[in-house]
Amino acid sequence: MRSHSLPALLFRGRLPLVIGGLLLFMALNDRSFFIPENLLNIVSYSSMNGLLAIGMTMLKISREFDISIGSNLVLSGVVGVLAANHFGPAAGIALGGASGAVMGLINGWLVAKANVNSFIATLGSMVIFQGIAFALTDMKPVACERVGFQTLGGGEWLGLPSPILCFAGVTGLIWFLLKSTRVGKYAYAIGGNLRGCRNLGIAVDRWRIGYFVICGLCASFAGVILASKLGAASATFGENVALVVIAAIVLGGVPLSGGAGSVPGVVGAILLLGLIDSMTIYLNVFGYYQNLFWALLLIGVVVLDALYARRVNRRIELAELLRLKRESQTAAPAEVKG
Amino acid sequence: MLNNLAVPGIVALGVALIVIAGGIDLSFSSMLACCVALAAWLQPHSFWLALVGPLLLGALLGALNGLIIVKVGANPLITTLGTLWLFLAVLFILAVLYNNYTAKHLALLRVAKR
Repeated sequence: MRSHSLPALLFRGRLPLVIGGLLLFMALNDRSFFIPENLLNIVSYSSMNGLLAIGMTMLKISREFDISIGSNLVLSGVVGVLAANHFGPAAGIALGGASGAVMGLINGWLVAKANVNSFIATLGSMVIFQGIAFALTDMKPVACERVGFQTLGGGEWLGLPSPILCFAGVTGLIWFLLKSTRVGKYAYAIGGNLRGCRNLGIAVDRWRIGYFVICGLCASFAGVILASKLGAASATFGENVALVVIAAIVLGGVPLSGGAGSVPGVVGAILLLGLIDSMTIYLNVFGYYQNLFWALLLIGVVVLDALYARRVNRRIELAELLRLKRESQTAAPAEVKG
Repeated sequence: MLNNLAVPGIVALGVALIVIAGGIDLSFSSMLACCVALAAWLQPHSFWLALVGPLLLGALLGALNGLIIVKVGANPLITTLGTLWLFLAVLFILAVLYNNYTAKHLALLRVAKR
């Protein structure tokens, strides 16, 4: 429902408004914030969270979520580095990515076939993946011995660091999938009405597993890039990542009940997160003000979301009432005549 | 072993109530931290104050969660994720202010004054 009232406009334009406000604040306080290196750095730093969030956007639209992506990132990084050390850089990248797909497959099977609630299922698999990563690395960071492996995360092209390019590529791909292919259309449909889709004869379970696999693939891609950027993998990265990613997705306008949302909103939210991070460093502020700001933003969005939904519902109810009233008015004289 | 499980057990009993009622609360760990800090702060003054104060604070923070979720109709998962960070951030900022960790860390106040 497109309306042009002020609250609706504020609600739709919240991300540009907040980002614009923050940029204005920085422009008044510290001009050196706007040097290209720093802006590029913000985007480069955000692209890890961005890859995770973009993968989860499609999953979230189909009304599931995956909190094991932090562990997925860790485990695929470890697998990638170990495989690169044993079989060469290309095998490292391929096996790291494949391990993410397997993890997504396990999560998807648990949720779609075994009917476990996705929160509980992925909470369990999060602990399992983290445990495997700990066991593989013996709780020590593993260094990468092959130089070739590090070109993925440390390279540059046209002056842009490769994490940004990977992020942009994956974002474009997922955006295309969501906008104009069956994969995306079914994600919206399944998120909107699961039972309806099943009754229509769509192989719902297979698609839902597929969305988990896409999410897992994105997480493992981020893990491999992170490992190759740092030249090492450790089982202690990636704690709390899932919560940040879920928060970014909600800020980006994907409702928790699924069935709606778009890629640009999520990208905006991810950039906002990076912006806040960088701002706290530039302003030399105690780090927890960042958490405070992020928390207030999140609560503000949820409250706004709830109020807006209530408003829309009330308007739909009113319209329904009016329609009923009109029908009864037009129907009543006819009865008298008859 | 049972001794170690006492604290998680008490927290779990409270969270169980919420989950049975169909909600979820992620912010209990931050609430726990806030109450522990308050208890430690009140403890030199009076034992009974240190016993009752954190209980009241916990009730207050829980009421805040409940108000946002029930009255406004916001999603419990995201709301309590927000309050998880909110409570912890407020606690840390207050702790830093209280311990007077030099004004250098509090550049936000300087920015506000400018």
